[in-house]
Amino acid sequence: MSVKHKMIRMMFGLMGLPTCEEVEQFAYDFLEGQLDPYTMKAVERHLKACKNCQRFITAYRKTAAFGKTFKKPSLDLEFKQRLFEFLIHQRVS
Amino acid sequence: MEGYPKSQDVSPVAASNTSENDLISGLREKADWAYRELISRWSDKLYRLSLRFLKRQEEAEEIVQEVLLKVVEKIDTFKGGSSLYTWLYRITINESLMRLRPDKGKVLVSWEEGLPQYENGIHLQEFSDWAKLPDEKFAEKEFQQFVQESIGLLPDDLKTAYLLRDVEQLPEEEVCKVLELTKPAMKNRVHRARLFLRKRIEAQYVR
Ligand SMILES: [Zn+2]
Repeated sequence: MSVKHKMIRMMFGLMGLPTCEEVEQFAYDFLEGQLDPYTMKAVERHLKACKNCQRFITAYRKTAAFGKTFKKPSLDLEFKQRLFEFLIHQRVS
Repeated sequence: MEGYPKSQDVSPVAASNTSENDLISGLREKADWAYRELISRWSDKLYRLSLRFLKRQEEAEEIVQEVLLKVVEKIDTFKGGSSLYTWLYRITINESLMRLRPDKGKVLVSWEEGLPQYENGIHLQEFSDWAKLPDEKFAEKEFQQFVQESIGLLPDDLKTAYLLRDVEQLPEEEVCKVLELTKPAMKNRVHRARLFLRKRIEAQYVR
């Protein structure tokens, strides 16, 4: 175990801040604004002090956001008409 | 030929709340207007969802046809307790996943490879700076293809949660209902899918 990691861990502990691992576990709710105000503040303070988590959250946010950039194709009208006729045809009265 | 107005891109619940009961009664009576309404209200949404799983247009079209046929045939067994959309989404997901099975010769990648490594709660690795990745990159065809392929590598449970939440943008409550998950379980799946995708994109595009 590296001394550096122990030091950082101790520093976050003394400041009452979550660890990097906890920041990751809070990431979903952090993005959605679903954390309680106290935890929200603590995560923000961790981020101010930790460049690596800043990068992680930036990447995580972009990853979460690009899903909505995917194209939204639709069926063409001919297909829908054929589908309608198909369903009518299958109908047993 | 009757026109099919473009379905609106709104929450499926909002889209169907107006007269879902009427639609269900109409389907039970096997009325033409109900079939037409079913198609105009749902076919695009189901097509898109299926296309995310299967990628090929013809296959997704077949799924839509199968799902809607199943719905009109089984409408009498539909219990009023849940919403029509939950039922439609569930059938679409199941049919799509079943269709995926046969060509499962692909190499399965463990989603765990997306998990960050820690020592004592502190990151072990340095992350790359995504600020260097311009937003336009996300719109590029090649990039989107890479992401689609990566989504395809996810295990079914993570893939489904991710597609409903991040791609189709369903509200959390609706994802939970469709997948019959608690909120924490749903969030956990979406989170793990994002971790996996983040890792793959970073390895490929951000250095
Ligand atoms: Zn950190």
